Amino acid sequence: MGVSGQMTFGGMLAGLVALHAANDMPYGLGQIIVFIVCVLGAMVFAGIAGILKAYFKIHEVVSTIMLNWIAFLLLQAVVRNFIPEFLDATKIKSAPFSEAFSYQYITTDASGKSLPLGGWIALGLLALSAVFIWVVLFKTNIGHKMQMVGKNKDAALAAGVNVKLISVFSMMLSGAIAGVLAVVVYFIRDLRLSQTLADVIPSEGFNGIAISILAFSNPLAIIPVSAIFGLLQALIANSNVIDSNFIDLSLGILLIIVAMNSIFLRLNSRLFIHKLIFGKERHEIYLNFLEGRNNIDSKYFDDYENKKIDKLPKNEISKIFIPHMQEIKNLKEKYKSESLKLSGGKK
Amino acid sequence: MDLLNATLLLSSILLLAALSGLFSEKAGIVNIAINGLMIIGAMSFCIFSSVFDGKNHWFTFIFSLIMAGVVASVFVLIHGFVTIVLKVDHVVSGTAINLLAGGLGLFLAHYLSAHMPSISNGAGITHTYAPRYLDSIGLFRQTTLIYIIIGFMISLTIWTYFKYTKAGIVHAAVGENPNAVDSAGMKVNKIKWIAVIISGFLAGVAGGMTMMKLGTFDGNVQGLGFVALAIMILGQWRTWIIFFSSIVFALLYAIADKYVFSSIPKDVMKMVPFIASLIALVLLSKFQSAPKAVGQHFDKARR
Repeated sequence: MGVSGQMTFGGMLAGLVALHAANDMPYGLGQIIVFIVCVLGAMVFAGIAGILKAYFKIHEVVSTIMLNWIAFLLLQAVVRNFIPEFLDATKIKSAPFSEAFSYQYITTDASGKSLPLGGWIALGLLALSAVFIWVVLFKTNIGHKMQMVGKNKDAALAAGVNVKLISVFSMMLSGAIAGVLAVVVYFIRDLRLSQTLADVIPSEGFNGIAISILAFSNPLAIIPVSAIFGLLQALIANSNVIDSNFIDLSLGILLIIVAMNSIFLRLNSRLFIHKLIFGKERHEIYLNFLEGRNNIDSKYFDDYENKKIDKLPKNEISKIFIPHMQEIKNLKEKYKSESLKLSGGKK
Repeated sequence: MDLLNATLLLSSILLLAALSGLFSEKAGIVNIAINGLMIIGAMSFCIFSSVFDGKNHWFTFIFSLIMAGVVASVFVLIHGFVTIVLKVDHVVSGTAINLLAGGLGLFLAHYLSAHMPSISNGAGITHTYAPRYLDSIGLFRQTTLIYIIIGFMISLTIWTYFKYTKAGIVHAAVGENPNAVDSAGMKVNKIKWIAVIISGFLAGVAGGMTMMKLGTFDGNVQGLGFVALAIMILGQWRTWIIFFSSIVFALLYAIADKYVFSSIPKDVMKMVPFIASLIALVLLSKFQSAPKAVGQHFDKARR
């Protein structure tokens, strides 16, 4: 729940640095400093929630909601008091970042013109973060321990895992990615610190939860899912036909259907559609056919098992296999003739 | 007495929303969807109060509040279905409902204000009670007084329910050990369904009350549902601690909102209630009393 707050906090620190530091540093250094400050700030902020969870047993949902608000209000206070601000009717805005720190125009082409590469850099950061998280979670020792703690805390404790340290670490890792998000939001998209004046926490973090649910919590699947979601959002925002307020509604509907995905495991849609198309009588014949085929299969299955079919020569295999297929073929023809009889000669 | 009224208004909203969370968590179901349900409640309060605006304002007012609760308790059936029947993770379902409700609120607010000018004021849909909010009895505004009385009565009822009635004790037991309740021959899932529906009703009423604070509905309730969730945990799942902590929180919030201190920036003052409740959580962390089976799915075979 705390991604928005961590993003805000990291972005605020980096914004302070970017608006107060000298602009004449070597090219690329400013961007690197901003990146590091964002990531470290967000990590520290997430670490607070991790420590509260591990050592004081405060539910992370509550502490991160509180920390979201604290970061949200802190950004407004900092922008009002320490940074030259541009007031808008609905938004509070800082002065724009200079080119030495923002990522928007990072290279120049042959004619010396700046190219807007921000989008590509953001996409690269997305892919890098996703792969990074995948590697940490599935290919390292500490990732394995994190999964153990997540699946069964007591078992992990019994196996000698330092559960408290691992929970703090996983919170900080999540915060680091929130810091990357801060780079994308404040230094690539907005190019300044900005926030709504209405008391609404920025929605980036909450959309992130939705996307990770849509991706079934698989870090690599998050790449295409977030790309599709971004495409959807951009399409609706630029469309004249669809109301732009439809974005959140569509995501909500999508998400509730994904949350209900296990409903599809419960009903056999193929049989249901068959019954719908062909009617009850023919459906029963079809069910009989399926049952008969299963019986034949299980009858021959014993033969396959007992005789260790994978070690037999080819002609021996066909001695079992051919009668098996023959029997199924007979059954199929019987089913076909029965259903033909039912439909009165028509197919 | 601006401060008193602002405090009472905010505290009764937070109180009802937190009690909604309490009601479902006592039956073992995490209800992160409170914020979404409050959005639904606020939206239906606006619509019903405008559509049924008759001569008897008090009747319309109470009727719209109840309808806000009813619509939200219909909406929460999704949460019940997903968590009780399909046994999906409660936080996943709650997040999905929050997004769905937020999207629905935003969409309908703009759609209705574009197509039904009678209930809109340009920024979003509105309700007919904003001016009447100012009528007062003595120190109190009428509506705030009604709200805090409703909040107090509901807290009293819920406290009595959990402490002295058989149904309430069984309800709390479902949150602690559903299999024990099951082996005593009672239907766990039925209790869970009832808890979820009543939780939705309370959240919807809280959302309807929020409209008196917001005035215009433009698709959100300022994240008050999440704050209420925090207050429920701050209150250690006990009715009276929730009651008083919501009043204290609202008081701190109202002070920051109404008074301007020259030496301290307003945003820093606004931070105080959040920091204070974090500190209170740290201090109270030794007395955690969350229901044991909260967030777990009821499995008959796990006796």
